[in-house]
Amino acid sequence: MTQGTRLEQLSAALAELDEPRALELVDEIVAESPETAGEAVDAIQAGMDEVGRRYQDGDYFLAEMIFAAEVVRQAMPRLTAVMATGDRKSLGRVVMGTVKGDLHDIGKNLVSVMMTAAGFDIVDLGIDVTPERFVQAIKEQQPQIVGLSGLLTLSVDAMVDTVQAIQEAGLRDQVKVIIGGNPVTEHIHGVVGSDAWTNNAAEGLAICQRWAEV
Amino acid sequence: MVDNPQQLLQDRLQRLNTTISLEEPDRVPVCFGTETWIASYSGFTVQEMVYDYGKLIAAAEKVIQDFDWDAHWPPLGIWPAPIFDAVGQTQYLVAGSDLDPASTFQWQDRSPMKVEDYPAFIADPMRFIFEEMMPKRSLELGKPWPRNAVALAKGALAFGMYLTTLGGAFARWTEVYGTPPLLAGISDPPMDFLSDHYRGFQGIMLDIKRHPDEVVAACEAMYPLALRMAMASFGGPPAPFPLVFLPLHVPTYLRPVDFEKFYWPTFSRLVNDLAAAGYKCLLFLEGDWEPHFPFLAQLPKGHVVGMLERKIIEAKEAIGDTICLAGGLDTDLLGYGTPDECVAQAKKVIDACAPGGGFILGGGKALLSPNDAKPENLQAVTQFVQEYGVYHD
Repeated sequence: MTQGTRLEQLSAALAELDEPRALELVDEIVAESPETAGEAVDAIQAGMDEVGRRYQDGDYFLAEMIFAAEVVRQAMPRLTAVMATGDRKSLGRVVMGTVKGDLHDIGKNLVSVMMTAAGFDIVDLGIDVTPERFVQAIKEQQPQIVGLSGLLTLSVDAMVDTVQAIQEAGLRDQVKVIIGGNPVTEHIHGVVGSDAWTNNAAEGLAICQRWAEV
Repeated sequence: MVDNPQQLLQDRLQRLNTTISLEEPDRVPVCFGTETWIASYSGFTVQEMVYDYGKLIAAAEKVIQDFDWDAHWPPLGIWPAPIFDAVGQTQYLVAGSDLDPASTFQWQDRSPMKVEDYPAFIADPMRFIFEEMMPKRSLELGKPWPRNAVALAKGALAFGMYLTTLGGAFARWTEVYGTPPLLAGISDPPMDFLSDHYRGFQGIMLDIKRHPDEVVAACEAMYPLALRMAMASFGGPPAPFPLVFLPLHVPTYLRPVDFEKFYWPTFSRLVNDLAAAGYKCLLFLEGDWEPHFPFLAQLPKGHVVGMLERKIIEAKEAIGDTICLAGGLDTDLLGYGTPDECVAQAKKVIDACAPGGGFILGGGKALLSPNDAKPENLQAVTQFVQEYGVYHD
């Protein structure tokens, strides 16, 4: 099989959610042509883009996004293990976390996997992250983007507090802040003072990609 | 104190039953789903309420006194922590021990049941749940005899106290304030049972791709237990009111084709069997249900209330002939908007959803945290619906 076909098949297998086939192709690439691992990551990104498109079109639902992310989660370490550092250009660094008081992480984890596949470097602070820890991580990691996630309505107040803490630390101009999760709406976006909001993982990724292009 | 609670009660029941049956009552009923929000409103922490039933009842009663709603949302979602402590349950996170004392309860997504357990679950779900799941999910029940038996007895005793205390309060609220409970009894549609308690959300999302036949078979196996739970927890003979509460969790994450395959068969059977037995249900419809409206339109007409988090106006057109809609005001406006903004939203929803009956004004989400609703916003909306929500001949 030619390498081009194999990479196209990898994209297609991911888009079609064919987990055994996608992982089989990844293993073949690692074994037979590890020097193309970087291209395989691009192929995975293309497959994930297609999954995101189908989600936006209403053909796929969250179940499909979670499943595709699960396939990517398994594939990525196999490929990066054989890649030289600096093989891939980073789209930028993103500090992510579920805000203080909220312990839910399914949405955040999904977005993290998708953004990693797309080429962002993710610094995942986990759940129940205090405003102080966000501020500290911004100082240490110098990200371009900060992602605040929450499922419960109580996370709205924590998002407000976090953005305020970033402002008070004098870091607000250095980062773009995106908020996401079930309680987030246009109205809440205004209350929090974020740069963007979403409750759609594919849309959130697209927003960050636009920011990275500027 | 109200002047004539018996008359008030009759008026309210008439109003609710008429609109649930998809006919026009005298005016649009109003009722908000109040969960742990009642703690902050009444000056308690959530921790105080989940351990002290006296405070729980005081908080719920203050809401009933202060807001002129047609029914009360029974404080059954405010989980009694002594029961959980007695059996050593591991999935609920409780205010004061696992969480901030003022936090609403939270749920950890776990998979105590493994993929390879499907055959055992399908063969005998009751045995599997009691013998395999309970000791894993409630650690005290997994300890050697007699500790497990003592833990079970302590849990049962705490549960009995909880039900007795609350049952007495419900009877008094009906008698003194003329305010009936909106809900009695609860169950989960089988796929949500499997997801919430045994396989976890993440687990079930992967199972439908990797092990679809097992998920279908497990839902079928679970069905008799789900039906029995709804009837047993309702208590007393079947009645069309209060409503049996069915919180639905996974449907909006499923494509319609998967919803139809995995969720719908046992869910629709549950609603149909309950309707045939003389019950009516309240479906808690979280998320965006629009892609699934064609399914809801097939449920038994006049036997179902759907509490919608989103798109209630679109729902009126799509499913308003089949199910009574509840909701209209979301927490973003109730908690962060002004009374005028809330009243404007209430007017918009009443104009769209009230004609022909089949509409209860309320919140799209249960109120959990202090900032989910400002009291003045709730009062403004409640007052508005009493005047503007009147039906004219």
